[in-house]
Amino acid sequence: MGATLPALAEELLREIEKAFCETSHVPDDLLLALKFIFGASAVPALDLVDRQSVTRITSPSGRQVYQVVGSSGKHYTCYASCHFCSCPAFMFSVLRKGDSLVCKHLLAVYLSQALGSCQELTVPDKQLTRLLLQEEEEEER
Amino acid sequence: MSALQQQQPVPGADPASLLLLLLPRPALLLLGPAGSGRSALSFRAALLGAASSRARALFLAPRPLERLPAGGADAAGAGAIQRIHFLYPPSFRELLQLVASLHETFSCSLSLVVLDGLEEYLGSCSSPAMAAQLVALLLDTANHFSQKLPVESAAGCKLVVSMKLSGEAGEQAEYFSAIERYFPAQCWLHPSTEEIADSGSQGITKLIRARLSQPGTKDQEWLVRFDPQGDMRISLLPCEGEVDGCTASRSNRPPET
Repeated sequence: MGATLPALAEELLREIEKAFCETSHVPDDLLLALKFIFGASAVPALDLVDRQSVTRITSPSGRQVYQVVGSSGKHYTCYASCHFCSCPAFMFSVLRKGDSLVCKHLLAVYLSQALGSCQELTVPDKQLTRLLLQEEEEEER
Repeated sequence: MSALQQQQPVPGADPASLLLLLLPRPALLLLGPAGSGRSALSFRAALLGAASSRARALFLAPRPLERLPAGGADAAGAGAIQRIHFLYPPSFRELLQLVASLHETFSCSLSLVVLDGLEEYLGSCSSPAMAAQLVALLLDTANHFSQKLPVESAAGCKLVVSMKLSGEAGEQAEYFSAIERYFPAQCWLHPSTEEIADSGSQGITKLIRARLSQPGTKDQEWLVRFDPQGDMRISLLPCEGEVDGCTASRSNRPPET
């Protein structure tokens, strides 16, 4: 995940991964820490993970991208290795105001990676290119 | 190991210094006002990338360079330039589409992606969020190609982006704050006001201070010297405190919005 997440946040995600790997369960103290570090994004993100809303999409070229189905049913694109989501909250709260670390979709991606709970999908290279450009396509409409 | 070590260096240039300045981290943002040698340095970075890896380097810019900076090709080896792939998308939109489709275009890996002249693309970019998307996509693309590189080249695919920016970013400040978060390593170029008249009186030598800032390490400074023929020489400057009048720093970044 990109260099834009503070070390503390990355460490917490690693701890969650470790705990889940060993016990198939995330202890309450780590959940509290998650709420503490990620604020209002934490609970909605856990909800997205519960509903298996995160899909890792791969194409034959090896390129990957994540797609998250938001609570409204809308699809958002999150880049696999770099801190970016195409949703309005990421644009406003993360990029513009800088008062959040992540949006709920990105956090759901990070949590799904840690818990190994992503849906998997393979698409042709050309379709993956279009998925990477999601925001641009929406502006054209 | 690297092709750089097999080649004769340019007299006066320190190839290790050049490598450290231009390719220090997975991603570097190269910033400076007009005439600070951004394109020459970006091109040199592409040569270095092509020379130090068997994979190709990609050079993206709004238009071809007016002339290839002198000296670089000799320094990095004649074969290196042939392993740079030059592409000139004319607008932001075409650039974004091109970057998103690079995984289709290059089945081989890339060792370096250079984007020269980001500021020109921002002119046709609709919002700071779109600018952030472009930069995030470039980084994600570099990561994709890193995974395609053979395991022994641990360095991965690097990214160098150059952008014209003077002290006050003005209306570009919002764009700048959206993209700079993606670049922990930033290199600011400060043209020196003093220019040395060449003893052969064939023109003037331009001096540029290049200051590299990255978290966790002390800032480092280089002196880049362009002689009247356009040859570039780079030397590492002593650490801060040992140099007089060394005022360049990250503090002269545009105010964050």
